[in-house]
Amino acid sequence: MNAETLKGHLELLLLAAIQAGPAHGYAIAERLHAKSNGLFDLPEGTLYPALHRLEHAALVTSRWSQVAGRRRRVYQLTPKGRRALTQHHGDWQEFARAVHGIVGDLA
Amino acid sequence: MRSESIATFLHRLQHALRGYTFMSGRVTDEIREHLNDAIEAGLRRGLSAEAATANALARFGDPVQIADEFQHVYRWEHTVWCMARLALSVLASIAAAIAVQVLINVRIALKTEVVRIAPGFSRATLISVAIVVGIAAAWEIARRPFDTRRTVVAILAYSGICATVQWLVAWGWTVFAPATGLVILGYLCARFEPRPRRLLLLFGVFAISLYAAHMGVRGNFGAKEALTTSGALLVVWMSTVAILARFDHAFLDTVNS
Repeated sequence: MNAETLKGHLELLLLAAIQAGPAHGYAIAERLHAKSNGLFDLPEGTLYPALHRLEHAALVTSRWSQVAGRRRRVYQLTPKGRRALTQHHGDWQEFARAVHGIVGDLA
Repeated sequence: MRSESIATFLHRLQHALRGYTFMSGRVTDEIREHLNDAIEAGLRRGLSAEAATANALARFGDPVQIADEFQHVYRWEHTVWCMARLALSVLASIAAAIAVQVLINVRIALKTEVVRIAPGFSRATLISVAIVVGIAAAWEIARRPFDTRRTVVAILAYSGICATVQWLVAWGWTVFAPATGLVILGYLCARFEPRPRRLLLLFGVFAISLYAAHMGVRGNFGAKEALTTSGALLVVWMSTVAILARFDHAFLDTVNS
């Protein structure tokens, strides 16, 4: 999928990926890749500025942690992040229904 | 191959994030671990070390573009950071100027009390302080690479200091107006090469400008005083620029360490 298309929904995708449990950047990238069956293949480096942006907005928190003997920055959803995820999810479903209503008949 | 490639990649990222030392360490550590994970995953898939490294770096993307996105996230912190550096530079410059001023006055006072460096010690000190504040601001504006935000912050900070001094003392403009002019003239002269001619020209411009400025304020400021004061200003100028350059090197060293 086009990276630019994906970027518009990156916040929702990251919040959803972190909701599954606290994770470091590489694990989050792996979750996105696995859950989308390899379709979401945006440059992994773009995840980090987005994660830092979420942290700035207090939607996630992060801390250094030892994972498998290595020092990793682990991200976790905050209560505000959970509320934002619910909101984004609702918006997305509404948007998807609307798009499907228009282009669904084309097939 | 693996560590070299990662080091080169991270060096490019750090270079693109210079001036963002307050966060670049964390970013570098995070990305280093990410790349190590990606390379190990590639090795587990059966790739060679070279192929796994190349694949991990390619998947990660362009470090300059990533740094650009980080700069956007941290733009406000960066502005505060620039202001803190400017304030630190100004404080260091003021301390250096006062130290030089005190040393020169003590030395002159020991020789004779008749020869004075300026009509009034307090005003002469304030002029020197104004000059070093001006130099600090000019340094932040002129040093490469040019940065619009840094320039705006430097101009606002300098204007704020001028306005505050003017608010505190009615004759504040008689200090900052010639100081601003001297800094601009000094900056223009400092662009000349080679060094002895540049310093001589700077010295001459200081002397003429100071003589003219004092003639406008009070009459009893002769050529001898103008030359002595200009010598002091030259020392102040050079020490301030040297201090500012060292500060910058210190910050860059932090980035590269």
